[in-house]
Amino acid sequence: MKLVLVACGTALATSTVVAKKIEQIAQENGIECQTVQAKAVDAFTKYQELHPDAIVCTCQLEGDIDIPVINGRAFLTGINLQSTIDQLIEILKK
Amino acid sequence: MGSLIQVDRIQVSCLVKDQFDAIALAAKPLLEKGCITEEFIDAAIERERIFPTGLPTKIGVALPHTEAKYVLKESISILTLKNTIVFAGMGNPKESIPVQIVFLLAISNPEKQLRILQTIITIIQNEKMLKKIRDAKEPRDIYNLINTFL
Repeated sequence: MKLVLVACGTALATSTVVAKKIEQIAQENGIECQTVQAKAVDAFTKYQELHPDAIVCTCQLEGDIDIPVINGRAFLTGINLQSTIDQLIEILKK
Repeated sequence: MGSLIQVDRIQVSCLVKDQFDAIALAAKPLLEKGCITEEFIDAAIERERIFPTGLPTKIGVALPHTEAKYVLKESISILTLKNTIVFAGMGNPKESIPVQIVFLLAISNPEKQLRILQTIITIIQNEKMLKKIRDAKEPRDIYNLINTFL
């Protein structure tokens, strides 16, 4: 099971939409994947606690993070969406 | 969905001086209808400063919002701007994004409101729809546009 941490400013609006899209993309690609949402301020702590496989964020993040961080804005705007999806799938298939 | 977006919470061709002014104006009908607390406005402005919500779509959109504790009744306010106003970019506060459409989200239960949130995102990704919203002359036009899109 892969774990993706989805972070946005309040963990309320954009991260919910982005998290659902990630789950849908993973399912379509036969990848077992869970998402956990976090507020930007809690994202680093959650990263340390949960050891996710990747972080997708629609906000800027602070702290020393050594896993892939994907800008989730494409899931909202549709701009460069396919390359973002490809990037995510590549990470999740590892 | 119908209840979250109401004609009396849609304002067209607004003149504002900056992005914070836009948030305050969008919040006004929500405050009058008892959908948000007074603190919502400052909280949304403060959040916009730290975690901006501008999106670089063909017609720029911003999605200001803040924490659930300031939301009394879930609601969405829509503003179209006469002149473009610069918002900072979501995830990239140094980026300047000219915005013409603002969706102010007063949401406390995103799982429950997923469908409307997803509809807004679908609209944002549809340039034609954004143009129609931007060019709408009456709040009811925007209301009808969004409803037909569902």
